[in-house]
Amino acid sequence: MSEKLDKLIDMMKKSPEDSKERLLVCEELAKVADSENNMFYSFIGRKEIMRIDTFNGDGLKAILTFPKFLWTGDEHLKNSEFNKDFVQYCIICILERMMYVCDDYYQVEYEKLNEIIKEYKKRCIEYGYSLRVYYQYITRDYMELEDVEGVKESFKKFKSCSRDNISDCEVCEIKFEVEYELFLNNYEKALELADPIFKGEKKCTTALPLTYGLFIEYYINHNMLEEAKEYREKMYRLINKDDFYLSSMRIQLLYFAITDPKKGVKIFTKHLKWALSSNNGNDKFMFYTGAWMLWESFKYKEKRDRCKLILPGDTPFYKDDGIYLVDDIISYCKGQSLSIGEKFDKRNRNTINMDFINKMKKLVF
Amino acid sequence: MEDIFRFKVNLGGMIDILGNHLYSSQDVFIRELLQNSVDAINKRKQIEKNWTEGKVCISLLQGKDTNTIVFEDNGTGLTEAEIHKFLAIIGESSKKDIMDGIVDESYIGRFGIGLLSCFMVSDEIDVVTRSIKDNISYHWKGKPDGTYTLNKLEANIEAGTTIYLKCKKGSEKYFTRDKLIGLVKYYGLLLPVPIYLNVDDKDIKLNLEIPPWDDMTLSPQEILEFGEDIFLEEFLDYIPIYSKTGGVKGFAYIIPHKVVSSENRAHRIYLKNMLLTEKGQDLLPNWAFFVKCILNANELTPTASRESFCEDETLEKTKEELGKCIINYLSRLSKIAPKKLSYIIDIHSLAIKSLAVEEDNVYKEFIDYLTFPTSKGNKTGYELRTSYEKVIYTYSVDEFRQMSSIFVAQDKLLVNAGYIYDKELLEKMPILFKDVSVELITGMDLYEIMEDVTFEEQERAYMLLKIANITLNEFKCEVDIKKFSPQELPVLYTIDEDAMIYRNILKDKEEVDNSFVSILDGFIEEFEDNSYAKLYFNINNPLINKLISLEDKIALSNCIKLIYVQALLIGHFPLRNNEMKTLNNGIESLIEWGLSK
Repeated sequence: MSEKLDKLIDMMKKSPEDSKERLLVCEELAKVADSENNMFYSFIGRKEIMRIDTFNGDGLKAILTFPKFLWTGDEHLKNSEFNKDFVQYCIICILERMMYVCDDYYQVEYEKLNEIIKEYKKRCIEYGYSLRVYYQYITRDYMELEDVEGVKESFKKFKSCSRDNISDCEVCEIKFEVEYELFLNNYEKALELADPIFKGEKKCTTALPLTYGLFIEYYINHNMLEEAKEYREKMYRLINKDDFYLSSMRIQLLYFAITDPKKGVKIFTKHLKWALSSNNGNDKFMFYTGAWMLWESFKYKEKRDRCKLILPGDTPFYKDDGIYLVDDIISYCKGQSLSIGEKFDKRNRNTINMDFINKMKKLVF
Repeated sequence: MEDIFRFKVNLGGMIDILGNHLYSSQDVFIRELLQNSVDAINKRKQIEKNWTEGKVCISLLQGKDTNTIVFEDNGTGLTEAEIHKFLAIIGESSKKDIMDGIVDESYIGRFGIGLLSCFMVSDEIDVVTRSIKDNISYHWKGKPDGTYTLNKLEANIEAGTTIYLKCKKGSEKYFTRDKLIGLVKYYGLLLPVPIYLNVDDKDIKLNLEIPPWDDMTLSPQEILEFGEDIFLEEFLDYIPIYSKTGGVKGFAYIIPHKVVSSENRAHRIYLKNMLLTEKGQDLLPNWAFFVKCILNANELTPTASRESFCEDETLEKTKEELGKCIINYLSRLSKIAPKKLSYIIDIHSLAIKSLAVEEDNVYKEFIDYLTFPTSKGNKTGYELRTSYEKVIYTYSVDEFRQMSSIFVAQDKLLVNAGYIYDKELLEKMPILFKDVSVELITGMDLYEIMEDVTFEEQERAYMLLKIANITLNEFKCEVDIKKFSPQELPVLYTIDEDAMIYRNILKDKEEVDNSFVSILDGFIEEFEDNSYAKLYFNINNPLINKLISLEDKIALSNCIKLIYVQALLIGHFPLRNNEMKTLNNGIESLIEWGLSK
């Protein structure tokens, strides 16, 4: 191992976890390890890139790194017993993330997506891990398809699988169960399950705001807007500084589209820059769909054809004087929502995204 | 009239709480016994001012069925009233003045539950004691069911206390000589009372009595060796540690190899000369991960389990003072032994850099010794701030690669601040040092270095550019011609982020042999529009001018390919398969041409 590689490994270990700095070091580490044919650190560097990008980025780097990551891991397992369990563990954890991240990118073909899901299951069995996470994913898949029987069946399988060290954290599993109960309209049960999260007895970085989001969605779908109000505010306080929550802005925009679109404009102007810089198709679809609903509602309720806004300089329809035609904003957001939605539907071979847009329209108008 | 009841204590349950929830390990019973003995001896010293023969003697009786540990001290001993009061009432320490709530400062223990810890390893505690206050000896026997007996003894014994612990099933490992020696040395190494283990009728002393930081006769080498004996590793140097607030004294040993900041290091933290914990994170600053410490504190308050310190103002202030000790030592080293300091900094540079980013005083002390990668090799902070009016830096490794060649050719310095902390450290430089300025340079700034050629020059270079664009199209590289300094630099290769991603996608598709590589196909189209890198010929360069005049198109094409690959190698860009093939072919052609001459 060269001194340069040694130094980069040291820097990786000492840099703050999940930070962009660590990601940069790992990119360099992977390159240098490649040039030295050091499969293990080629693997480790890529593992870290993917881990950080799925937490702190939009997932694109992770997807682009994935094929070589898996290849270096498999090459290492083929030729060495060194750290075998650790390498297998990393592969399983990354495969799990890939299931979710690749779902968010329409550029990943349908067959490839299914192949990743199958590969995950296969390797869980091969490496001796529980299929709990696998069935959790499948349950969510069925929820998206609104297949009630499928949801119940796979949830049952999820519960029957034991927890192990690749399972979701305990709090995130509670959130998932809340999601399940709300899907089945078991509101009281969902509230009971969510109670320790809301009270702060069970903590996890993302569980609280996302659980608020689940309930806001439920309240909006059931026209319980008063109940939605408090959670909307609490959720926003937790998510407004982290672009990880770009897709979660949809529910914020939707709430204001229904109640008071003028108040929602600030959310749009503040977070548009996230959407402009993101590569994540699903996140952008969610944001622009919410924004489209907001501006349509704004046009209808406020009866205004233009407004003065501060938008990011790289906004495609940017105006120096800050005066924007509402129709231009609607056109852009609608265009983004429809074009991305169509691409997802084409990839998924269904009409879920178009149906989703129609559902949002019904809620707002 | 209301009835008054008393809380009842389930002693078995209490022992379970102690064993499983309060104490981290059963080992602590030795600590508790040592603590009681030392406190009893200290109490006797207070009463009998000229008495100096305090000692603790431990022995291991090996029986047919089981072993017994015998723990004997010649301290104050206990009277009958004290036995009932302090051995049989939980929470009533003999070291606590209940009436006016004063705790004797010389006592190690405060909570009166220590003796119970012996029930973790023994089903019977026998205490034989005679107080210095009277001549009556007693035998107290306590059991974990909460019962005890007390008998007067006819025999006249020496003042002091002897405790007998019979091994209970499952605790056999504690009733061996080696384990006893290990535990006594671990907890009691610094106790100010001699502790002996009787082995084959010989008393072997197990502790130091005088802590090394109070022993003025020790040489630096002996101090280092002391650290090596405790931690079983060698160290670079030691730092004397002192805090007035916490009454802390000790040594911090500098670890001779790189360490991970998040790793928990095993320190030895003592409270009143009794080992409290190996965890130092409560007491030491979090940036001090390059040292291992052995410290004794006299003024800090322990928690109930006596395994850590209470978090209070005193602890916070002590932490600050200990941090200052380490910083002051490193500062002193910079004046009296700068080479040693450089060596230490080199090993622990990241730790020190992370500290310097946060703390100005650390920055000022150490920036001169920290190193930064540059186009002219590694430079220290001192060199950067004193030898260059303006320090130019990039904040990405890729951009540094692209730009460093031009800086090298111009004999100018470019700092690679793409690695962790370096950017922040450079940006801080002009704030803390008035005479230096820093400037960030990005890829876009390169265009300002290059001048456009004239119309006539563009015409003259027509064939070169035409052939070059055709030749390098397979490598996704566009070519143009500019004028830039120095003239020795024939070309400049630049690639933006999207083009870099595209290039990496193609490279991975060439190298990776699994079915998932086709995932990348979905993204090729996304980046294809911006997939071209740029190669700029320098019209000032003599070689480029020769190529402009070269009429042999095949030879021209081959030269262009080699120049392109050379530019990639200089920029440390990993070569794709077709580039590697081009390089190999080019070298072979040159060899053949040379051989044919």
